[in-house]
Amino acid sequence: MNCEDVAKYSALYLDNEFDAPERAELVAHLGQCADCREMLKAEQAFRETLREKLAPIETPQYLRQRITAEIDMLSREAAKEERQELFWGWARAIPLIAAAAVVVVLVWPEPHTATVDSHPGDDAVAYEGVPANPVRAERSPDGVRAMTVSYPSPVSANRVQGGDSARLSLTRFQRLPADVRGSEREILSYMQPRVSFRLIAPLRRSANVQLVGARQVLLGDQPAVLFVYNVRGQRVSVLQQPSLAASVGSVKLQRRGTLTVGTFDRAGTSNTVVSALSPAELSPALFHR
Amino acid sequence: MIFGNAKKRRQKDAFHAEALVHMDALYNAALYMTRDARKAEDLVQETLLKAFRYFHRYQQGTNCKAWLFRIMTNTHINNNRSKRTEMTYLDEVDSEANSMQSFGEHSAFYQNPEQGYLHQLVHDRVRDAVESLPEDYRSIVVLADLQDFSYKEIAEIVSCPIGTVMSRLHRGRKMLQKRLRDHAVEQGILPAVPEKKEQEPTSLEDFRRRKGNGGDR
Repeated sequence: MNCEDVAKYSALYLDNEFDAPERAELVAHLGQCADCREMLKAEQAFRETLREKLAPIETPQYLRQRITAEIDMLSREAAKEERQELFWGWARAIPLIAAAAVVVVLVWPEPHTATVDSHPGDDAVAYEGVPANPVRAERSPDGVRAMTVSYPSPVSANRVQGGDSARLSLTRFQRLPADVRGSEREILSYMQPRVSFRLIAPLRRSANVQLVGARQVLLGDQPAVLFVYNVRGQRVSVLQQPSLAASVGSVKLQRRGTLTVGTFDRAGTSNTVVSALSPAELSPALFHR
Repeated sequence: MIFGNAKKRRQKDAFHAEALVHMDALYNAALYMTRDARKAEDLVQETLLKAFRYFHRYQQGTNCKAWLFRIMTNTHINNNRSKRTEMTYLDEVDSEANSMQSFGEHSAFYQNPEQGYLHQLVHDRVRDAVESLPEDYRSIVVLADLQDFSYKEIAEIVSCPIGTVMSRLHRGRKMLQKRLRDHAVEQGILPAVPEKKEQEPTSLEDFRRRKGNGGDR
């Protein structure tokens, strides 16, 4: 190796890309050539100074905490999902026993006929249209209103549709007791003891606007209720939680992608509405516009 | 059930030990990639959460840092896919770099008789100089000179041939040096002098071919 080679390939050498024989050759040349030694030393020094000047910045503590917390959550949820799948695999094998157990667990407060809804797809809430055959409060032949209570399916509510694995599902409710379907009055009286604030029907009832069911959910540590309406054949979800705001603000409905989203306060509650309906179609169902 | 929990816990611990230890490296590289602290934070978070989700696909014992950087690079590219402006800018610089090739003397990338000038530049100016490099050159210079990845690892991280890595690294370093010198001249650290001449990118293959042909033996 001569001086010209060293000048030409010094970067490869300093980048550690030379293999052993090439390196040995270059080192041998350096042993004899002071100029090349100087040149390499200068280049090495330049690189070191550059690294010093660009000394790494430490990751901000809040970012580190945020990421660790997210990973903890993902890990817990994955474990929980696995447990649930194990459980439900078992439960499916013995559906009658599972159904009976769930009914007992629910401890129904009123002497209504309570049946367990075993269609797992029915309670995937919030983001889908109304199922082809919407479940409504039915009148049994003897005129007594029948009410359907369903235990949340472990999986359906938690999978974000569309296969976007990068997006997190923020709504995981497996531990919570129940979905309830029935009339507005029945749903409110079932849910009221389960939350710490005064529930109120969030939408204006009419021929086109029917409350289909509700589900108890947790927002942070606070119990909240997710109401599911059938408005003109489309599913409308309203999440109700306690509100500190005394005032009754106006409703702002916004189009977000294919969904209409809005929030409004009503009698001490804060409500978030999500639907595939357009704002104009949804607006008549709201108490204030 | 209990077994499931233990497995998840082991996986989380492995992720902490192998992946989260590279958070600082990812964060620093992300700062250069995005040139924006908020975007860098989001990019690092997105990268690590993705990595956790796909951690079962990572082969234990292989280079975890390179795997993470590959995820981060792809994520960054996907997040900026819609931005065409950077592309046109790059094309311009590419032709600029090509025209620079007509000069040529030697390839010592940072070699420079007055190399002491760098000492006198403040950190921020040096950082500015790196950030001012066009994206494709910037990321490769950062991966090679600040993160110590080999040419082969960089080629895998940015999904391009090793020859492209070498020529971009060469040009990127040249541009960086020129910008550093400009800063130094601007600040009166160096006298304004005509530019030194430049040379074509060096290729390891060329060198080996020459050796194979007995070029200088």
